[in-house]
Formats: sequence, structure tokens, C-alpha cells
Amino acid sequence: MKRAFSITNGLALFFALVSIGWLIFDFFAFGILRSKMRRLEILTPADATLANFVWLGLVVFLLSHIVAFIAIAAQFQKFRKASVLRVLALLLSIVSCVMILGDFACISDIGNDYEKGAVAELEFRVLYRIAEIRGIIFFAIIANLIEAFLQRRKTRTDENVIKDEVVLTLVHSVGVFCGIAGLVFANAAFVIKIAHPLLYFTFPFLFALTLIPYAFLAGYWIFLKLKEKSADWYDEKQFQDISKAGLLSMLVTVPFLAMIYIANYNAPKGPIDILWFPYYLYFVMLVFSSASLYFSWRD
Amino acid sequence: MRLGNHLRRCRFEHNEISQQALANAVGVTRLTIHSIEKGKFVPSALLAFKLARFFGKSVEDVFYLIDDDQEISGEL
Repeated sequence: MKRAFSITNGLALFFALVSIGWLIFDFFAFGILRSKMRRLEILTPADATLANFVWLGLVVFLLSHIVAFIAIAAQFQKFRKASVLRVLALLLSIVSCVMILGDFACISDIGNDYEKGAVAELEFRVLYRIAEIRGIIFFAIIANLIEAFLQRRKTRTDENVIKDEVVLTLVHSVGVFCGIAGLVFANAAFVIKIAHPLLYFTFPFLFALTLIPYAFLAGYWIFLKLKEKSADWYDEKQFQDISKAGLLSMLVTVPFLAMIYIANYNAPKGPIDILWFPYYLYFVMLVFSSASLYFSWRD
Repeated sequence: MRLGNHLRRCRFEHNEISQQALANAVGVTRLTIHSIEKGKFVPSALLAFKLARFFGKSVEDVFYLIDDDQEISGEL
């Protein structure tokens, strides 16, 4: 437990610092590439390498957020309570993770426009804003990690916990947040498919990014449970809560899916089309997670 | 008919053992102990026996039945 906390928080701090460094590099790279693209100069191999490092930065940011999710889960597990900075770091980390698609889209547009002999000024401006916001988010993550290390020194006599509920509660809380975000994106995809059919095809990436926080936190919980027999994963009250939440999810989501089926019936290639899956997935995630939290807190 | 309990009193008599320590001893989460104490969750027979054994008492000494028309008074 102590080792898990030290390793995950140490790694998260390392990745956050590397990400800050990468952001500074990105600012320089954007400046160089933007000035050359404005003059429509031919990019040298060195410029192409610079651009490749900007792409690589997105992978580093993604890794950094994934490690941060797990580190924050380990913090909740250790301290067993939420601090403002901890919750803020978690939520901002999810937002920043989803924003990676914004970087991806802007950098792709810049490249495409440059090949056509145009300058994507707007995309550069968006890239700068995203980088600034991401910088603030990484500082918030670093502040949270430092606070956790300091807090650990003060709370050396913490009580050992055999059967934990904190990580599962965190997974459900993130499930509620990601479920709402996924449904918002599904609605946006519905509208955009009508207005801009080409943009619509970027949404699968957005849906995948929205799943990442939930998937990694759930994966962390399963990793913690691997040393136990599957029958011991829940205690009897948790099992009852999960069962109730599962039943409620089925009762609520089957009519929801039936509505989508009916709406799609006469228009299989209409606006809903393949969106039935993200609608269903995020709706189930939202209902199941919020019902699990409700039952565990109410009783 | 509902199930009442003297868990809070038993914990007090057992050196004011914390809910977490009791939860660890019987292999459940702290929230489960909390819910049982509040009378919101009815434990299984196995868990009831584990709790009673932990305090060195019989199940009837820790848990009792409350008729629907009966006021909860003694425990509170």
C-alpha cells in the first residue's frame, strides 16, 4: 500500500514535470513553425522533426494523465477523504485528457492547410489556448501531488484497511462524470452529424478519450482485487448495492434503448445511426454509477 | 418486523473499538458496519455470528427483533 502510493505519486510527479517541460518546448515549436508557415516557407527536415516531437508530446500528456488518475486513486485509498485540490486535480485531469483531441484536430488541420498553401491561424490560436490551460492543469496536478506527499508525512499512524470501499466509490464517481460527458458528446455528435458530416468522424476518438479515466480507475480497482478471490471482491452490503444498481440500470436503460430503436427504425442511416452505442454505453455508465453511489450512501 | 442491534454499545464496551477495526476483524467495509449500526442494513446470519463472536457474546445479545408497532427506545 505504502509502496503503491509512493510509486504512483512519484511517477505522476515525474510525468507532470516532463509534461510541463514539453509544454514549454511546444510553445517554442509552435512559434518557429507558425512563423515559417505564415511565410509559406518550405519546412526543413529539422522543422519536420520539431513537428514530430509536438505529436509525441500528445502521447506524453496522455500517459501523464493516466498515471495521475491512478496516483489520485492511490491518494483517496490512503487518506480516505477528498481534499479540494485532489478532486480538482482529478476533474481537471479528465478535462485535459479529453482536450488531447483538440490538439490532435488542430495539428491535423494546420498540416492539411499548409499542404493546400493556406495558414491555419485560428488553429494555432486554439493550440496556444489549450497549451496554456493544460499548463495550469499540470500545475494543479503537481500541487496536489506535493500536498499528498506532505500529508503522508503528517499521517503516519493511519489505520490499516482490510476491505476497502474508497477506490470503488471513486470509480463510480468518475463513472458519473464520464457518463455525463459522454452523453453531452453524443448529443454534440448528433447535431454535428446533421450540420458537418465530415467533423462527425472525429467523435469516436472523443468517445475513446472520455472512457480512459473510467477505464484506468476501474482497471486499478481490478488490479487491487486480483490478490483476492472473486467471491471476496465485494462484502455483502456492496454486493446488495451493486445488485440493486444493476437491476435499476436494466430497468431504466432498456426502455431508453427501445426509444433509440424506434427513433432509428425508419431511418437506419439517419442522425442517430451508429450513435446508439455511445448513447447506450454512457447512459448505462451514468445510471449504474450514480445508482451504486446512491445505494451505498443512502443505507 | 425489523432487526435492532447493540453494536454501538458493544464497540464502546470493547475499548471503544473503531468501526474500521471492527470491519477489518469481520472482513467487511467500514460503511457496512456503519449501516448495520444505523439499522439500515440487515446483515446475513454469517456476519451476525462473526460480529457476535468478535465481542464474545451470543447473537441474541447483539441483535434483537423489533415489532413494527414497537418504538425504538432502549437502544437510542
